[in-house]
Amino acid sequence: MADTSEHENILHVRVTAEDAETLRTLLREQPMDVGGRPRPAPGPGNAMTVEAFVPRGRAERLVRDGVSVDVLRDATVTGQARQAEVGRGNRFADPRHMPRGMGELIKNDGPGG
Amino acid sequence: MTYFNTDEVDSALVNLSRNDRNCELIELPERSVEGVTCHALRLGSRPTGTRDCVLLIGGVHAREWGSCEILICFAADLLLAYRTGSGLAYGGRRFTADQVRGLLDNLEIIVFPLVNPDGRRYSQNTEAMWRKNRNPAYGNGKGDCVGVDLNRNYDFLFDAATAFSPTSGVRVSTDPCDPQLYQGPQPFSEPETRNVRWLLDAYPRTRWFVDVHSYSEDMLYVWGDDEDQSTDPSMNFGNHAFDGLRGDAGDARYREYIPASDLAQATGLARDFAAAVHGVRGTDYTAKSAFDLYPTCGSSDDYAFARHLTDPARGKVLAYTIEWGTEFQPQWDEMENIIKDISAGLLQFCVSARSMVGTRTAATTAA
Repeated sequence: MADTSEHENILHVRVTAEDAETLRTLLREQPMDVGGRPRPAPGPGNAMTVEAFVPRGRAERLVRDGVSVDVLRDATVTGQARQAEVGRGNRFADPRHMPRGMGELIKNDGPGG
Repeated sequence: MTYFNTDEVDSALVNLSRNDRNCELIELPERSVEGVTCHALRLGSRPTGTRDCVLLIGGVHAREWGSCEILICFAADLLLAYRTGSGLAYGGRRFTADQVRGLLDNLEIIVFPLVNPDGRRYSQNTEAMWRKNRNPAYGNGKGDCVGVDLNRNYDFLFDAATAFSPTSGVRVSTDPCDPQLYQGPQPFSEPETRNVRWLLDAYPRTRWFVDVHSYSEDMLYVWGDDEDQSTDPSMNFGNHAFDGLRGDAGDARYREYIPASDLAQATGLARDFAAAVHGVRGTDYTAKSAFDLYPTCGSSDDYAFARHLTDPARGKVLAYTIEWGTEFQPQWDEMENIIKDISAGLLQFCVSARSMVGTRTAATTAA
């Protein structure tokens, strides 16, 4: 496989095939970076869908009989935006500073569940 | 709040261990490929080795950032609630102080939140979609020709070309330049996976293993190489008579054997996890086997469960993979909601696991 990582933006796409065998065949013949797991497509019929991450120039080439491709977003651009949400410095540099979880402490809790 | 950078992940672990006597810092024996010292936490109020153990790992795939925060927040919640004699609430899901206390008094919980620090650093600073570690040794050391998919590097059906059917579409690659799925030259070629194996060896009372990944809102139990079956013990990953037949969906030529009692326990814990997640804010996670349209090999969950079958001296480890969320890097506001979901799921998972300890102890006493 050629090294193409620096050349094209990556698109986040939804690939929908008319049935499981068509999707399986596509994934076997056109290996791609799958995100998440295959699911039945909404609506009637046996269509299956899977999300994937493919270079921009490759997305259209996945389309064939029984297969459609919808572009959800530019994953490269989204990733750059998310990188801005990563902490700078070290908020735990003070050894007394502990991380806190997202749970709410409860005292008079009664039975669990 | 924002996502933790790699320095913050490590400092968070160190600080938790310094400030809570029910928490011990574990230094893993191997540094990452780029030389980072890796740490885990041991949670528990009793001496090490005296209780059955839950091993939780995360941060294996570089781009799945939130796995680290999930495990650090989970550990922080448990320790604080235990220390203050409190229960915990996540949205609509509540756990009593007795349940929290019962976990640290009756289990060991090992949390290893960042298996792949080099990959996370690269993903957070350079290429957000990076998945593998950062080992340059096997390709030309540039671009996609760097790194190994750590969740294909475990010793389970590693020789996919022999083990699987040619039509299976097994999700693995022997190409060092594959941008996602390169398995490495041999099982445990990478220091990061050897660290996970070391934890399984060093804590032989590990009975449950969970590898936290994203995404797809699933709680996956074994097996990943083919569909599960509980009727033919000879049809198993160690039987070479079935080489070349594994991995095709919907056929009867091969399905991976799991005893019915193990399958019942595996599915029960997965469903308990999913029910607790649902209780937080109504999100539906699916409990199912890891095999889907296509098989995998060399993954952590299959390896962890298979260990007691390849070496009967080892204890049985019920093994899982969580696939949280609907994208690799949600906006932080949504990531906080996901942390609550998965914290509740993991807490219930541990509560249910602890009840299995009680059942086993009672059964042993009666015998």
